[in-house]
Amino acid sequence: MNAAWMLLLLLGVDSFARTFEQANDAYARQAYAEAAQGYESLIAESIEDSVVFFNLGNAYYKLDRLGCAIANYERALRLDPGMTDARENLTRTLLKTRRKLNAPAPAPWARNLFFWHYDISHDATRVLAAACWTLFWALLAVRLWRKLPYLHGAIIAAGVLALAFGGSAWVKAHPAQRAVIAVEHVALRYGPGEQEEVVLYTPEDGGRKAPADLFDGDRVRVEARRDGWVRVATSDGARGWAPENALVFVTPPYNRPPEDAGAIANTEEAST
Amino acid sequence: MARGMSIAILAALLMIGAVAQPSVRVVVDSTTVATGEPFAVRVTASGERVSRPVIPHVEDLVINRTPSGTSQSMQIQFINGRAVTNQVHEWVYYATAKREGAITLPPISVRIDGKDYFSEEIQLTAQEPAPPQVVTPPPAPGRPQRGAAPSTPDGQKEITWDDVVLVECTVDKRRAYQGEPIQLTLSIWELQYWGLTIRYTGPRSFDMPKSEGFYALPPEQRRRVASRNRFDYEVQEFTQRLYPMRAGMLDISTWSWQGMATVMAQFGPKTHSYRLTTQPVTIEVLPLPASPPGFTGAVGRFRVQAQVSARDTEQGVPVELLLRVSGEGNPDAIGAPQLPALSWAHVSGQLSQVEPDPAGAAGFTKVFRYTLSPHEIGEHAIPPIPFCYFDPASERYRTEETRPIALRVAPPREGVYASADHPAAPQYRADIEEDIWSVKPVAGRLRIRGGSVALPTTVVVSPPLLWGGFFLFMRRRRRLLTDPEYARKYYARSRGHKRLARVAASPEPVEELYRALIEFLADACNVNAAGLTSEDVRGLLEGRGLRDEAAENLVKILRACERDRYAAAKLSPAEMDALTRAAVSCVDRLEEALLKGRAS
Repeated sequence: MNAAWMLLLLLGVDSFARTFEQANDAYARQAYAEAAQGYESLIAESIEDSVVFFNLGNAYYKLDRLGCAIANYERALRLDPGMTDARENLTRTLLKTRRKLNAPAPAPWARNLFFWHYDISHDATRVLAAACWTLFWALLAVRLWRKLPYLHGAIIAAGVLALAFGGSAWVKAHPAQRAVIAVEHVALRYGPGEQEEVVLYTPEDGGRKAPADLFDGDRVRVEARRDGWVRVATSDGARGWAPENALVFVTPPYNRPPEDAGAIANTEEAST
Repeated sequence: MARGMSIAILAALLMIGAVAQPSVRVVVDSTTVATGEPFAVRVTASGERVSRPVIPHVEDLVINRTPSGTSQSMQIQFINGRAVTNQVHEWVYYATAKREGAITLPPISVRIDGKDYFSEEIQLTAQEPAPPQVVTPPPAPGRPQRGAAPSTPDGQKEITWDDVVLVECTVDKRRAYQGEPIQLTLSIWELQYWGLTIRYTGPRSFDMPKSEGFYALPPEQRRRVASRNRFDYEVQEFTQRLYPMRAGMLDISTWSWQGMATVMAQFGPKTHSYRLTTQPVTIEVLPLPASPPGFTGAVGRFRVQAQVSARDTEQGVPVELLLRVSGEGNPDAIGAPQLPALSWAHVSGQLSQVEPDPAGAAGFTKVFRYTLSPHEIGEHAIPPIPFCYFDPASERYRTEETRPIALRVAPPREGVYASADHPAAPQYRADIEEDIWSVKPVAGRLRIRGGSVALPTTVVVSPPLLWGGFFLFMRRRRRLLTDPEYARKYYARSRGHKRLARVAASPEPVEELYRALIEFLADACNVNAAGLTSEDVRGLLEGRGLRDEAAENLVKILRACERDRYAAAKLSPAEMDALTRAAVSCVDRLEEALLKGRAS
């Protein structure tokens, strides 16, 4: 991976910039499918830039692929939580989805421990962790040289901050897998396979027991992957298996959305 | 004269000791008291050793047996030429009459100098209390007082509880058109008076009166000071803009204020609870007359302005058209004005935002943004854009128009969008699309996933490594400062070299060479250099297991030096030079050998 990265640097990344500009140009010409293709090719070439994801989200929005748009806005916000344009476009896109389902919440331990880090970008946490780490050792060195008042407190504070920001950076680098439904409709099943029955569940906010149907733009947490199927959970308590090609993953490794946004599975058999 | 004065003072002091006659006296504020209202009973006793008064039980009075105040003073009086000392004690008790009619306060006893003394009994008349509205707390003399002294219009210093807090609900008009702004003002008047505290005890959430059928903006709060009935008040005002949504008689409901006022009266605090309610307000809302085409719902008085982000553009490069509607009215009721059809440009949807009046007045500006994408080259004009609204003051519809705007559209430049040298192409600047924020250019290079791990590793590993180096450096430094043996061995070689370098220039080179080698060896072996001879050095080196060539050479050099010192065989300069070079080599090798020996 490291060698490949160096090779890319040596070959020059200007070709990426050219592809990006061509995609932007296609977008300006309202050739949104071509623009999306261009941005997708950049992502396939290991580009991970919040602006690329944002622009790709816009292209999908224009193509009325809401799930793909939401996934890419989420990707942009994961890299740059302060990107207000992406946040506003995401909100606007979510309002167009059928169920306007909330995003699955992070694990309780992460929510309680890192409640403060959701608005800080990954880069910022890394820089802060490095700064606190360096400061911690610098203060330890000062302590070797001379005893100063409040030095112990400052060392402990720098150490704690370094741990906190380091932990935050690690959690951000290893996020819980999330995905967005990118087809019109998909039904969750009890197991990985078309032969499995459709899940029946009672939403957490009340209501009758119903088939676990997911629609374009619904955000899910990925719990397991097996044989082209993914076990997902929604914020309203539905849990089951969905075909992998019906989803766009928010977290790496990134996948391409399905070509056809039509229904992959339906619930008619479950309803009957 | 001075002597006479001294004798007089001495005589006066000698005469102190005579004591005044003990006495007990009881006074009350007034012999006419109100039932249920506390009054003060002051007990004064004078004597040398005074005990606390014994308060008797009285059926018709409640007397607080714990004094609310005590004081003690000493008087010296000269009576018939004798100095008389007098201790005066005072206790204040509060009592309350239980019933109306005549009540007797019996004598109160105080033990003075071991004897009981009694006060006179006091006849009290208890009456029904005065109406509760009347409070007469005169301001304490000399104390600060906010505002003018409160007084009733007839000049008496008297405030009723009704004057303390007032609540009002007012509107600026009782008759309005549908959509016309109405100002609702809720005022709470709090009397400014020293010692008066007013506390709100109502629900924690402050709600404005219910106004069904109105569109209400969030209330605003302000404070001011005003006079009313010759009293000074601090007025807390909540103003809210209401817009009637339908015609008919619309009600603004009652509103309640709940609180408590406490005043510091002469005999303790007095408290009064309030629950004040405003009157409901009814507004007659008139329907709007039949509207002309182009009316989007604006009611009030407005101005309209238009501007473009650029007067010169290129074919296909959009410009932003801003339409500003300023005035007073309900901003949410103002719809987007319809732009006239432009044959030379495509107009895409609008986005609006409301900006408050910078002057802080009730006005606002609503900005509508349109994107114009010109597709025809040449000189064009955006014609006047009409904006129709209903003016309640003149009770008719009015139409304001923007000024026409000229726009020059040039042919597109070749490859302007695809050029990497043109990152901020104009289409990116007009960054608001129909309903979402538009695509962006990238500042700098695109970021690649993963990236190098060298930098993070360096950042993580470098600080502890640097600290480790610094730790070793500081440990050695500390040892050099605290361990002389270590310091001598550590510096032996460098010192030896320095001294050997000075040999050639020395007036006594043989002596210098000898001393340099002896001191090097003394430092390296941590022994005293004084009196060491070549034989001692041989023994020293053999004792440390050094019998190699370097040791032999060192001994030989020292012997040559000794021969030069004590025998007639003087060394020539060439011999001296050879000896010095041999000594340098010996020092290096011996240092290594000694280090090796230490290590083994």
